[in-house]
Amino acid sequence: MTKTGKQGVFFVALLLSVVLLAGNGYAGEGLMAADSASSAPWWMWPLLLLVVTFVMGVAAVLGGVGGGVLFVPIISGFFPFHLDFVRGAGLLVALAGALAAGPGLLKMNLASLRLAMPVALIASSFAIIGAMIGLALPTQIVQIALGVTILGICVLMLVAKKSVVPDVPKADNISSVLRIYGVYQEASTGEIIDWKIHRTWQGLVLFIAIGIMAGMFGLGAGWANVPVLNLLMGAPLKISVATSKFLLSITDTSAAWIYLNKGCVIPMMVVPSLIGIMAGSFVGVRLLKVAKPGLVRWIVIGMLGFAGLKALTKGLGF
Amino acid sequence: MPLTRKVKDLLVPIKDYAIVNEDRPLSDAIMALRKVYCQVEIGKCTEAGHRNILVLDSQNKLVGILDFRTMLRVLIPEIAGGVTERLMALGVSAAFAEAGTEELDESLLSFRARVIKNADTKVKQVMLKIRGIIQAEDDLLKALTLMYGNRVTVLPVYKNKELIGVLRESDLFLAVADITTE
Repeated sequence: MTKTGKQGVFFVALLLSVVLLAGNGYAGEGLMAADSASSAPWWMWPLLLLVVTFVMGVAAVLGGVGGGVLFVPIISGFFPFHLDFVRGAGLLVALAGALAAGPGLLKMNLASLRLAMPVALIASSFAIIGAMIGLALPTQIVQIALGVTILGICVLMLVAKKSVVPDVPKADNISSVLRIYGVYQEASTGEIIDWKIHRTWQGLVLFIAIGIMAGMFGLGAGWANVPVLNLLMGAPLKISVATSKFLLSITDTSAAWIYLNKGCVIPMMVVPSLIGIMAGSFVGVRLLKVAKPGLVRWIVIGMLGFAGLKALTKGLGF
Repeated sequence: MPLTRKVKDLLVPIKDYAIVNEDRPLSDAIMALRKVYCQVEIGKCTEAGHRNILVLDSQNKLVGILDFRTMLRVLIPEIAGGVTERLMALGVSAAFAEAGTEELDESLLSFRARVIKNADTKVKQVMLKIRGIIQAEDDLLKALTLMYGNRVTVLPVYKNKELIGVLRESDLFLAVADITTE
């Protein structure tokens, strides 16, 4: 294994040990005995969150998953925070990454506004509904649904294919009316790529479900956006990834307002989490430039699956 | 007394200055500036020329300016850019990596490919705004005050409403330096 690969494995192992420490040493006691958690100094939790989210940021970049997808199941599974606060923070974590990337992706002409806007209208409207549903349902039900969703994401990560430039024989009527098409230059080859989409209705209907899940679980939704935009609607992979990230900045903002309005966004949790995950992802990008993630990706998927199972068993009361 | 001279005595005529249209790609601006900066006719860049290029709109009105630093920030944002540009570049890289598509991230491409791609940026997207103009009949002290007050190194020179040239910081430096040699 390369030196950087070893560093990646080290970061993931560190993440695992810290969350397990938090889970065994504090979370368990915190959930069962409030005195134990409250006896810990106040600064311990922000500090622990900062460390865990930093490692999580590195793991997210090396593992090819969104920060929000890792954040919600791991923090809700192993820390003694109520799921509502974790989801509120998770949305802001996903939002921070999207806002950091959005301007650059637009400037590079990779995120397509014409593709993003109709999708964003639907996804963000239903993200608001999803957030309201998530906050209205009993926590255990949400926890079970979160566990199932996380396990589903793991399966999706293992089996989903990607198509760099899908074959779209003919744009459908709705995408033609909305003028959802574009051109971009592939920097590696200099090739000009003309793209258009099809199956727009089906895609928009799926974004109803994606919006609801994004708002309900606070996961971000890149894991679902990209396959729908790329494999179903036929947008090139590069455009799909960029538009998906830009889309998150709209969808997650809508849902985040609901959590904010309900008092589910605690600065003490959000600030260290944002700093940690952003710093971690930037370090991850540096690591990625010198080596392929390889084994780290499998470990991250395994870790995500473990967190999904933990969420499921927690919801089921085991 | 050198500073009793007027702006019109020191200006570089507009015909000698590099200009580019705002709708052209940055690569055109680079070529034009390179041509006036270097003695390309002898094949070597040995003599420093103008370090800025004026940006004109379709009516040939001055709308902006580009300098070396601005162009390098666009060509290699991850190195020459400010904190915002660097964070933006990292954000884009993280976006591709988190989608498991790091191979699509253009910052992982060769330096040469990235520079060529970035040189396609339109001039009007990256040009600097004009901060201050001066009239040909104004004196050099006014030009100095304006230049340092606005923190710029060149001032477009107008004769009434017509752009006739450019006054550079280097010309003003030589004018002030002349005092010490008198």
